[in-house]
Amino acid sequence: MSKGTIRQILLITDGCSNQGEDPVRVSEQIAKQGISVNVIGVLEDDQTEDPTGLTEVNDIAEAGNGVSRIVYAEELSETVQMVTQQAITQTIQSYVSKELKDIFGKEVNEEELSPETKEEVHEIVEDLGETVDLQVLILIDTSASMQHKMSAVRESLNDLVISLRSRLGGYYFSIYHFPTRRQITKRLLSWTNEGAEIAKVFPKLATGGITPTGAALKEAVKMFDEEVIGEEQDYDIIDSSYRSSS
Amino acid sequence: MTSSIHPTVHLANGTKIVGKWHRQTYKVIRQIGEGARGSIYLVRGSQGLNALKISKDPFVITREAKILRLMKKVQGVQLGPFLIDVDDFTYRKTQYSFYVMEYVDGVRIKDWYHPSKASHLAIVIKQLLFKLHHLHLSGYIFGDLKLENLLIDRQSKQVRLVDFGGVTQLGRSVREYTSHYDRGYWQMGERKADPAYDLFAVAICILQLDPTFKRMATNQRNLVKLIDQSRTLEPYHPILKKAVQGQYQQAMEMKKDLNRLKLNRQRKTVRRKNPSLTKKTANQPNIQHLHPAKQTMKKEVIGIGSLLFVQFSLLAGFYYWF
Repeated sequence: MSKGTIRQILLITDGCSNQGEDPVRVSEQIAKQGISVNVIGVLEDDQTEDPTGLTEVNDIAEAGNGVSRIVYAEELSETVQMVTQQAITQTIQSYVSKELKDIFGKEVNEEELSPETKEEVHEIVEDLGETVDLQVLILIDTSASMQHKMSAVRESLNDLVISLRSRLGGYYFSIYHFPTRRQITKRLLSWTNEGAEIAKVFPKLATGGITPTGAALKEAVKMFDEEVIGEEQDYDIIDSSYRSSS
Repeated sequence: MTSSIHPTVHLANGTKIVGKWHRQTYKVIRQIGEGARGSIYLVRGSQGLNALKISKDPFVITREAKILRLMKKVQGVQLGPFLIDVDDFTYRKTQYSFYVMEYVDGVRIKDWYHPSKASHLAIVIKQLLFKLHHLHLSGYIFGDLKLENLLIDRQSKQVRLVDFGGVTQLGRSVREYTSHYDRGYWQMGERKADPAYDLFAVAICILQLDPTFKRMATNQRNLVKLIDQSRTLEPYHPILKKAVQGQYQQAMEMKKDLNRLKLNRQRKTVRRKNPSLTKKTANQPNIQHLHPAKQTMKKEVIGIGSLLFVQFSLLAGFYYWF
């Protein structure tokens, strides 16, 4: 039996898209393929914590069955790690409730579970979250306004790798950015689990003016199909062999 | 879906919380804390004052409640606040999960500490290491150890750990941490749960008490150099260095070095008179330990009075245990 993998996109952006396709609709399409879209909105230092321009961040994540957070650049490291972790948990939770539905023959709303039952379910979720394999595609908005936040982004990705490395499950990540002059997205790093690679690719970042978030997401998701690593991909999120380690 | 936004919950003072399952009632007195995963309120329950943690994310609540229940089982040593109740609550059509625990009325280490108390600090840290030792024995590490999570209980005068959200099973990736206290952030090791991860954070807690540390740490990532620069903590330098370099596998090893630290200071003064003082004499523990402690006690009674007095009595107790 092959082992399942959780697949995620992590979008780091600082504002609303202004060109091309509606990112919320694209995100919804991506979610249908079993890939969650998680979004971190990076605030300007003088922005309040609830800026209207960043509501899209929450909408994209909501449509993509993902998690979103809006934070200042200095909070990025902790946030990237937390969002990734919560997204794993959330994916497994929805998988588990699907299983419960199969067992009970009806939708089981978590709110209807007693604290004691919830605790048992959550324990399974936590075990899976620690052991399941993970594939994260990191998509960075490098439009002009992101320029001075790049060092924080880079640091947060280094930090993410430390966390991924500490999990029991396997992982791969890749990094893309948008916009670029000729293409919508550009690959900075193909699937790897080597954290040292980040330092090599990061200085290459260029910045552009427009923010075609929707189109970029649409491009990025193709990479999950194009580059299959190692053994064959399993389209089930998790299978019963989850406890076996890699 | 539990996606997006913050899991914190804002409740007005005076709000009545009635548990959905166990039907207990709690009245909100005021908010006492807010983290990235939920909000903590001081509440009045049928048994008096309690602390109540509430979150939009039920996962946070069940997990921490489970940990607190585990902490209670660790024999003889009270590691965490007593867990009183776990339940759900519907407020303005949204369901939240909460748990209720014993309210720890304590002084934050940061507020208590002053560089002139550098020698008393050892007592507090030893109490902390004693608790961590028992936590580690039970198969977990604390994870998110930081000054904000350390209180000195006003009643028992003991160090108390609060916020068990970071508690992680040995061998797994640390659940919750704060960058500046994290071994991974300093590139001194993995973010994996082993006892040394907590001991690293203990060292950072001590360093954070040096008034210059925060400023220095912004442009210096070499911890060993930072330790050398923290002048007010000089006696602790060797221990801090060992802790950040992962040379302590067990909390008790670090605690033993702290015990010796007192001795060394004593020895230094004796040495001036008699440099040939043998190791054997220096290693007779009890009397030598208690002596300097008693001396300092006299000076400090005026300052913080009974708090330290009781701490020292406890310290004396601990020395007879180990």
